[in-house]
Amino acid sequence: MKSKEIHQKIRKSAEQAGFDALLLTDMENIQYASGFSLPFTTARRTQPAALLLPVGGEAVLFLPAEWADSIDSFCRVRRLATYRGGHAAADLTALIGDSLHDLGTSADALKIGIDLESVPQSLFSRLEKMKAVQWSSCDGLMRQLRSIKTAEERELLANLAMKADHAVNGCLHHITVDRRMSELTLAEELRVHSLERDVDLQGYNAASQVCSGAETSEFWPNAPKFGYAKTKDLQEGDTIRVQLQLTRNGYWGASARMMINKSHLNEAQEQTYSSLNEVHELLMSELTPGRTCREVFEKVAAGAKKRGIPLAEEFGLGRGIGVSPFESPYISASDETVIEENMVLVLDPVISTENGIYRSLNTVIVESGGARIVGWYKDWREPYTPIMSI
Amino acid sequence: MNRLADLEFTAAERAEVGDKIRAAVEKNGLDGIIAVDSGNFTYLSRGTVLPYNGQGITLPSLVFTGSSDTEDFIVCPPEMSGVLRDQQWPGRTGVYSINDAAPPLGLVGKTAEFLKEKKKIGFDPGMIPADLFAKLREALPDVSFIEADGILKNLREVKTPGEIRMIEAACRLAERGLISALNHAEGNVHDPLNYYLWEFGERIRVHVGEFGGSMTGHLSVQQGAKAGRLFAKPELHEPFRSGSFLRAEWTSQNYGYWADSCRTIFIGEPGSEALQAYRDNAPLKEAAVTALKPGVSAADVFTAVATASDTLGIPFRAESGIGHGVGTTEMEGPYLDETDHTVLEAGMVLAVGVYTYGPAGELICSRDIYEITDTGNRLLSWYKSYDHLYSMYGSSARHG
Repeated sequence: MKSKEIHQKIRKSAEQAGFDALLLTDMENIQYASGFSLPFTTARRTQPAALLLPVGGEAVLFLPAEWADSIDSFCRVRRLATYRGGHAAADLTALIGDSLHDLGTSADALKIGIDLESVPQSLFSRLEKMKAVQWSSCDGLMRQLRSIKTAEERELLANLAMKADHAVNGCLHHITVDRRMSELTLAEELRVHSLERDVDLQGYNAASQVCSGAETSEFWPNAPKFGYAKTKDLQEGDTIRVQLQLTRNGYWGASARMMINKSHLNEAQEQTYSSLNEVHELLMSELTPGRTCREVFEKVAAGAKKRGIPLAEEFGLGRGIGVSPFESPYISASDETVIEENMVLVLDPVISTENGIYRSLNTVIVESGGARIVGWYKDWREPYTPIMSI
Repeated sequence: MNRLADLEFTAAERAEVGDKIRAAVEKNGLDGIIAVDSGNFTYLSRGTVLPYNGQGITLPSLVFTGSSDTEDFIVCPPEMSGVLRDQQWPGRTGVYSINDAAPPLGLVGKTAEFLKEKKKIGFDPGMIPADLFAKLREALPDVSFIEADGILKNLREVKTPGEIRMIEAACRLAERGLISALNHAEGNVHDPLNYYLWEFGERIRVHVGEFGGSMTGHLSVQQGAKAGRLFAKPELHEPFRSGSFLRAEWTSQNYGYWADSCRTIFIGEPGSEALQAYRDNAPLKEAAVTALKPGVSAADVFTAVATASDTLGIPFRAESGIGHGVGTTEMEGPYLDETDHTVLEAGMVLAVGVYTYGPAGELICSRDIYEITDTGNRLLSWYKSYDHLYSMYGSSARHG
């Protein structure tokens, strides 16, 4: 995301909220605001980073010294302050203090917004001791900003949704019912097919997963090998769930789709998949700007109940996607966020029966008249069925 | 031979970690310790791994380890129930839903139900978000929250024999992942029809999994001038370039215990300059390994390398340090740099690698993992030696 639009959007909102600056510590917030991202930062919590974003003035990125030469052209921040060694909380506090000192020219306390839902308690307790600084949460502000995507973000997210779905189809195309293939082979094929569609080589959760038969009744099968699969062979007639996440330039795409390993679905499979379709239709009809996530959830849940659909409500019905594959808003009974135009959401109702957990992730962009599905490589109102033989 | 073929904790190994934690809880007068971060979570739960717990792609979970299995609990969203069951989590499980309250209030509410009778709870202030901590304190006004980062540091840095076996197994799987990727690539590395660099990286991950690895974390392959940076993405359609150094960095875990791996190889026939650059790395690493023994501070090991660098006139990249602990995270203390004065003890496990420079500024490193023993150290990443520069040859596009 090279656009300065996001940067300006954040500064404007921060100023309107009465902040002199934001101090962001969540790596996804930092990436959103600055473009800076390294794939391993979420796994190395003892090496925290922070971004100081004054409403007027130059932003400063605080980070371990060894990361400095890895900043690429997507990072919009040029002023770096680095620390070395394993005393991050103390070192970061000192660096941040110096930069705040440069900001504080008046007698009034600086009002700084900080993402309290992310900042480690050890760092925050040090920051709180700073004189002439008033800290307030900016979590809600950042959530709101991140949930409404710019045109450039929407384009990239739609593209990634399509690539994810394209990878699923490209991979499933290799299956012939009467030929041997294991879950593990299929999971590897799925990951390779995503990479073949020009996404970033990345580890961690940029991964794929396949489960078949009885294991589809588990939400996260194969623990703790979540990014791999079993060597078990696919069987004729199996219900198969494939899932993947992929990333490009710090933004995410996600897909989970169902395949029935036969030309015809049995009655139970047909019924369960039809239930999934019905809930998706309900969701699409209720998802309109101006409603809260809670209202959408309640209407869909009530509609499903009325139809006798075994909707697993406890998982919610979907979420946002952007610099994280799992972010606010959450279409659930607890989220009062108002649905707005230009949100990008992943709709993920879960149908859970003795035939397994059925999911089919649809990425949608909210527009004035409602939600529009993006990224369908094929029409997913029917699951994938492979050829029986060659 | 079979010692590393059994990848999971045995019941006895798992119990040993639990006993150690409980002894520390009791010694420090705590009712127990809570954690939400991936490393502490896996440690306190004795090897329970949640899906991509560090990457935050699900709602958070919290573990509490107290004086017995019956006291222990995990609070989690519903999709984790099966994950805990599949990993034989012996404690209680409390489930909250996204529908209960806006995050993290559902987690806080359920946790408070479990902890309301407790008096002193340990926590890691460097790993718990300030907002979550404030909400826990608000929900549990009669509980004293005690900073337990020191307790956890001492517990986690010195591994039990079972933990060391798990890491040794992780090292073996990691090394086999690279070797397999190399074996596939070598048949066609100079062929214009060859696959791209990303596929080589992906094949490391694939093979770690095929040999039994639980997950691959960081995954990076860099060649030529790009290898002069700690991290750089490969171009989308970047082919192998003959006459270049290629550095692969990857982390991977075995049932929650991590290896942090790095190897530098050469594409094609290396010239004398490349060979010398690779040879120059060895004495600095050797200085580190020689210093790696109980009673020596982490900073002293770094100093040994810095001294060797000065003496031999071989520069190294000091800002990366020369190593760190591995365990239930891919990077943890002690840190082999000038600021960490932790004294090394038998049972610590450290990833050690020195970044030196190639002719074009490439970072050259061969990272190995060592256990500190009573008298010195023991190599855990022994599967294949990279003492000599590994060269990739080959010319067939049919190898696969």
